[in-house]
Amino acid sequence: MPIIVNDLSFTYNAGMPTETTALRNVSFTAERGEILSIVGHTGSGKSTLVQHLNGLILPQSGKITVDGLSVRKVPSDLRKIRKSVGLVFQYPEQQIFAETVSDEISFGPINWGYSGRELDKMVFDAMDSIGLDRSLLRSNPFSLSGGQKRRVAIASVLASDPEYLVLDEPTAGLDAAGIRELVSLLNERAAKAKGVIHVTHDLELALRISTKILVLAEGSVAAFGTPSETAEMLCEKYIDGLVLPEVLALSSELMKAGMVSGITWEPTQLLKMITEGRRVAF
Amino acid sequence: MNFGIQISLNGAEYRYPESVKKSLCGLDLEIRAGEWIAVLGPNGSGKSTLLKLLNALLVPTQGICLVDGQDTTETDAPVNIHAKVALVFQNPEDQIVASVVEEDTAFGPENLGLPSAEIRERVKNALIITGLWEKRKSPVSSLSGGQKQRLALAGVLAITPKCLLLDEAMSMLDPASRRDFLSLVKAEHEKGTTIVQVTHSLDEISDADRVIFLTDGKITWQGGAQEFLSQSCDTLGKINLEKPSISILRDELVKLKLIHESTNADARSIMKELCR
Repeated sequence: MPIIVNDLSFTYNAGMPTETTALRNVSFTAERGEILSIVGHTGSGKSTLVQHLNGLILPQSGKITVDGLSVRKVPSDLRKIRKSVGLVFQYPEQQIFAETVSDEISFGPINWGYSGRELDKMVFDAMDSIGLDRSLLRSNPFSLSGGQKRRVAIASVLASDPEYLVLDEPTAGLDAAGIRELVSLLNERAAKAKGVIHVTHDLELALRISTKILVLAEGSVAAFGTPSETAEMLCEKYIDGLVLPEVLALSSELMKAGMVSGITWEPTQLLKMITEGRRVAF
Repeated sequence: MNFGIQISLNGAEYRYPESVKKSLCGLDLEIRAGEWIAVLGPNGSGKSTLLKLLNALLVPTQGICLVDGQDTTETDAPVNIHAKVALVFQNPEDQIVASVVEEDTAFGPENLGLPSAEIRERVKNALIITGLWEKRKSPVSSLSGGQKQRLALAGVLAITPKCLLLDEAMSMLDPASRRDFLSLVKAEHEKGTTIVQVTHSLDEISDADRVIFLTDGKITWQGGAQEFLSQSCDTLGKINLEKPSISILRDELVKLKLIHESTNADARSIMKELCR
């Protein structure tokens, strides 16, 4: 069963002069075995939305269900939902609290009742899957570099092996090797029929790795579909604050000028289209 | 004109107290007044530590760091240097101190002991150029991650620094806000401010005067930004960097002689060349 978000709205500081509506009537479904990317401009409501998925924020209006369980103020249900939906925060410092990497990563599994060899295996597997060197086990996570801290934050959620992995801007601060490791991790999770929900402002990355893309603008759903459907929609309709990846923008212009046969965000694909287009023209 | 300042590192080393490994190993670096330097390197190569030496948050465990002629180990160095050299952190939460946007922006100038009329003026300018003026009365907690990053920059611009240190300061911004942020940095550079910018994104470095590449706390490459960017994908891949897709396409089109080699790596320039 999936995560179903139905007609979700949320307003910060309701009734105050600083009232801000973060989400307006958002609906979508996140299936297991899929990588769903949520993209949108700064302040479009992405982080507010994902914090709803494990009940950190409870819906003000609308409904969310996780595998049939409703996200609402029922402690026993919320405990099940939080075991099922693991959220990696936007800033590792918001999440990390322990004095050693080992304590940090084992905290989740210990809370769910794991111990001994099984616990050790969970910690090691989580570290390996995100390229975190085992020699760092005794290190203080706060003394690590930005990229390593991010890996600790991801490993600590991964260690509990949640059914749905939700990551808020996980690539910020990662080098190219880190991003590659992260992408292969997301693919592995999806291949194991786990759900992956990934917030990013990098539309190009989203187009490259996702099964589905949800585009948020000013708190509303501006597009929802496969990467191809999303790319087509975005080339047709301008969304304030959302910049098209350069290769996609170029392919769209070339198509309008009749110089290529379709749109794409892949440089090698566009190169092929351009050379084919030239052959036809001459 | 806001003349930037010069910084020099001479055999500078740094080792964190709890660590066995040095984060920076004998760095020699001369940063000229008004120069824009981009610092690249893999995670854990010492980039953030370098920035902390440059604004005297840390002092070298060996070697010397001179900021505007002053040794950072001198007792009054932090006070003098913090009025001239401002650091925008990777995580804006590390530097936001107040609960309301305009109060946070006023924190720096207030600490410099400026008259209140000038503080108000500086806060207003900083919030207008960072696009946060409308949000001046908002609680910081209501801002998104990207807006917090802009607030961190506003707080720093309000002290009108002579040197701006950016630690992946654009990592949480969407592409549109990134362009805006980058043009703010360009405007600061044009005023003469010295810029030292740490990043993983090659599309942010084309305006830098010099690129330095760090590996395990040492400078392993330095040269011009265009020279750095002209390296092949394979070479960049080996040092853990990814060329932007549009640059990959541009290079291939140049190789096929479909566009001129002087064409910039952006959709508009390539389109113009292809239609020529």
